[in-house]
Amino acid sequence: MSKTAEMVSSANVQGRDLGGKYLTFGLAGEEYGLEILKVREIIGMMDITAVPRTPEFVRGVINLRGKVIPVVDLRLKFGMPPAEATEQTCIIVVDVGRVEMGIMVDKVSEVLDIASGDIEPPPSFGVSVDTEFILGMGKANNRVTILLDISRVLTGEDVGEIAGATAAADAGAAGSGFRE
Amino acid sequence: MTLDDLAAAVVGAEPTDLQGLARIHQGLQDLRGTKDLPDAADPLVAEAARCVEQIILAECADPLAVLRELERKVAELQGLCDSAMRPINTTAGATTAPSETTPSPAQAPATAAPDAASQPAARPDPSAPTTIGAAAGESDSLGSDPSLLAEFVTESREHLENAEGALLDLETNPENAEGINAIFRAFHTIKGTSGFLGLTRINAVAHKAETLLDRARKGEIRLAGGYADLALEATDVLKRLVEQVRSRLDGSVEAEPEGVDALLDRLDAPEEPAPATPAPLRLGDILVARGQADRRQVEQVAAKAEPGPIGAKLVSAGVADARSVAEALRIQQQASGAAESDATLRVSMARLDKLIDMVGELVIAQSMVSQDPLVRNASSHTLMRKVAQSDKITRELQDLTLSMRMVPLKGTFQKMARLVRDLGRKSGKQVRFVAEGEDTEIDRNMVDAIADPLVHMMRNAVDHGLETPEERIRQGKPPEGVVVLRAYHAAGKVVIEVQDDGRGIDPDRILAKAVERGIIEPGRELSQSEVFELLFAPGFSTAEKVTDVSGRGVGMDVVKKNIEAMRGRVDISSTKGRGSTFTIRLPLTLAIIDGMLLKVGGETYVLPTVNIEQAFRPEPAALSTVKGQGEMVLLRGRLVPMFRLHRLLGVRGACEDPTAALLVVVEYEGQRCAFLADALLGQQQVVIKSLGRALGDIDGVSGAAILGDGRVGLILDVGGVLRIARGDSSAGAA
Repeated sequence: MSKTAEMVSSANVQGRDLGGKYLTFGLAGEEYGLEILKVREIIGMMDITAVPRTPEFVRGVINLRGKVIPVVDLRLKFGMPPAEATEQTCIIVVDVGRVEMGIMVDKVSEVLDIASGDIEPPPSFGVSVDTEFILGMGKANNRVTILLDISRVLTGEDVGEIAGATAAADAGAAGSGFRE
Repeated sequence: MTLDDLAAAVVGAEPTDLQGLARIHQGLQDLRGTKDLPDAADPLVAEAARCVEQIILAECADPLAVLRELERKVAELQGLCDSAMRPINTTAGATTAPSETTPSPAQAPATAAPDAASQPAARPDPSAPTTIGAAAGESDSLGSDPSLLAEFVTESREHLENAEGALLDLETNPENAEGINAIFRAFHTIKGTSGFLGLTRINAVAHKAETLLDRARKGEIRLAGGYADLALEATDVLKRLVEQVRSRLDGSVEAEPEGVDALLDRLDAPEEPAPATPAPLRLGDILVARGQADRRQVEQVAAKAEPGPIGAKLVSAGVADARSVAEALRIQQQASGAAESDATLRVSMARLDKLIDMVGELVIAQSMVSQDPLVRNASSHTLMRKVAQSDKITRELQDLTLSMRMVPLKGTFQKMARLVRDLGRKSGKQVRFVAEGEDTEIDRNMVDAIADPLVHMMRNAVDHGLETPEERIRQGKPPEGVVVLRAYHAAGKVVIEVQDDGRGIDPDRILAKAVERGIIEPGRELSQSEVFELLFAPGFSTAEKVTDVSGRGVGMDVVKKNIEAMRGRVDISSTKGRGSTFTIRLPLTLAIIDGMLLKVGGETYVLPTVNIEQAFRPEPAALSTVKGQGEMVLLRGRLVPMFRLHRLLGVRGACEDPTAALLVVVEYEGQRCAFLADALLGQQQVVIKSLGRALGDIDGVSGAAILGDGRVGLILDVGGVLRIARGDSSAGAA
């Protein structure tokens, strides 16, 4: 565990050594992975309360054991066609810079250990996801997994309002004393 | 004039106040002859007198500096005097008898203040005509204004904490000059204030400790090892002395903490080795101090190496009677147990909030169990009982955790006392401040939020409400005005009242002013409460002249806004010539609201009950569309704008026909409007949660709540929803 932690953190620090454990999930027929250390838990699909006047990919908020967290539909986020929720649809709760968020994916597959030698830089085209969101392409078990930079996906520029709102909420919470 | 009087007069002196200076000079001359001072002090007195002369005769370039010099000299004199008097105190030993704790009459702190007050240009002093806190009734026991003393306690605690921190820091970083200075300043401030307030014991300790620190500051000694221990001990003793003042303010009589005299001795001669730490309060000492036994006899009994409790031995030896031994035992127990009874633990707000969250979850989980059809229809009577029992425990647990966030309003009230006192002096009015119910508890998060509105209201009360003493006498009122700040719990709310017995609010004048300011059109008929409501209109001020205290026309509208932000409300009642009362009603906590559950399409929203006036199903004839203003509904003869919630919130599948749905009439910032919803699902108290930090502020939504079924329901913010509505309609018009 500590070795993994070391590896991943060194990956973060240097931006080069990306080897480590990834949680893979399916989205519109493709396989994606995200760093396991960012994953808090995986929960089944549950009732989502829509929040008015938010971007379409923000599906709403859920009750995670008393905590209210937003859920982003990764299909909509990446501009893929929406899909009906199935038995396999999952919400992966991730921790993005001390903020918990849920991401909705078609299905969760497995945890892969990918050595840094098996990770290639993102291609400049041919992927359905903006390369800005991709850490690299991982090769394991004769498959290619698109490794996502999930922090960037959830706080990148075009979700600026989410990131901005986060900062505003922090400031508001600190200033107004109305934190719950 | 005693030395303490003199010190007070010097602190309050101004270089231009010749009369006051002359009195100080006279006082110094008088001192020379008295026995109060040791002979060694005479040169110091002469020097001090010389300082005064310099100022009076304008012989110096910087009279203020000389005045400071004078202050130092008098402080030194006090120190000298104290050390000369100390032998008397030492014989009193570790005093437990209450009478010993009051400063000796020779130092006469009680007279210090009035003397200072008679100085024409004296600086703020504790006993000027404004008898703030007289209601508290402790003023005579301590000789100074309780509010000043309370302030002193708070300040000193802070200073001592800082000093302690700096001292500990010096342990690792002994050359830190700034640290030494910080400690010095802390003691210096405490010395100055305690001298002014006549707290001679605190003054003596602070003075001696300051001397020690001054040596460290000059580099004569290094504040490490024994010196550091001594400084820390001085901090501790001061802390205990300050706490003693605190408890006496609260009305309880507490013995002076032990070790003060020992410490003073050691501060005098810091190079000598410290005596062994005194043993805990001994029974014999208590008896001796209370005059119920003779020390020699007690020691004789104690010296006999017989087994058994000393109390029994004393009784059997006939040294003391059983009753006094029992009393002494009680005192001993109190002394050792006092620290535990009031013990508190600091917990971070975040952890407490987390606990509240978890308990909230538990309540929901519990209700899901008890509402489960399997449980409800269970034939087992014992199961039902068990579920009911755990229901009850869960609810009590929730109440308990929520009550942990509650703190008394005392601190806020004390600030207000100070404010009123300063305001009264500034505006030349005589004000008596009465605080009632300062133990009333309120959510920790609201304490800060309530302070600002209260400050505004206090200012209003003193500046606008109360008349000048002359005016009051003309009207047959006592010259001293009364401002009452009162707090109590009523009907699940915290009520805070600000009441004055001043001139009251003149509805005609407000009306005239409102017309003049263009807030209302002339010739409108308004009820008295509607007139008072005008006071909250932005840009309204009735003060004839703008003072630096209030009257700039900002204030009451801000007050109202702040209070409403806490889901509270403000009401005014007033009788012309008799005074006014402003009543603030606030929820007990910000963590929970009373909400009405609204069904809109497939969603459930929570609308705060405080905003809701009524709900009704409209007749078709009541609905109309006004060009340029959107849909309206006729409500008791008035046209009220109607908004379809599902459109504003983008919910699909909601009922479109108002006559088949429900209109919820809400009031916001004095305006009424109706929201169209599918149905009311009932009323519920919900715990407010933020919408997750990732989403932050969403227009029209103030937060989220976990509903009974475990789902999240959004709490509507009426102001925000209205903003959406107006934005939409203006966009539609454009």
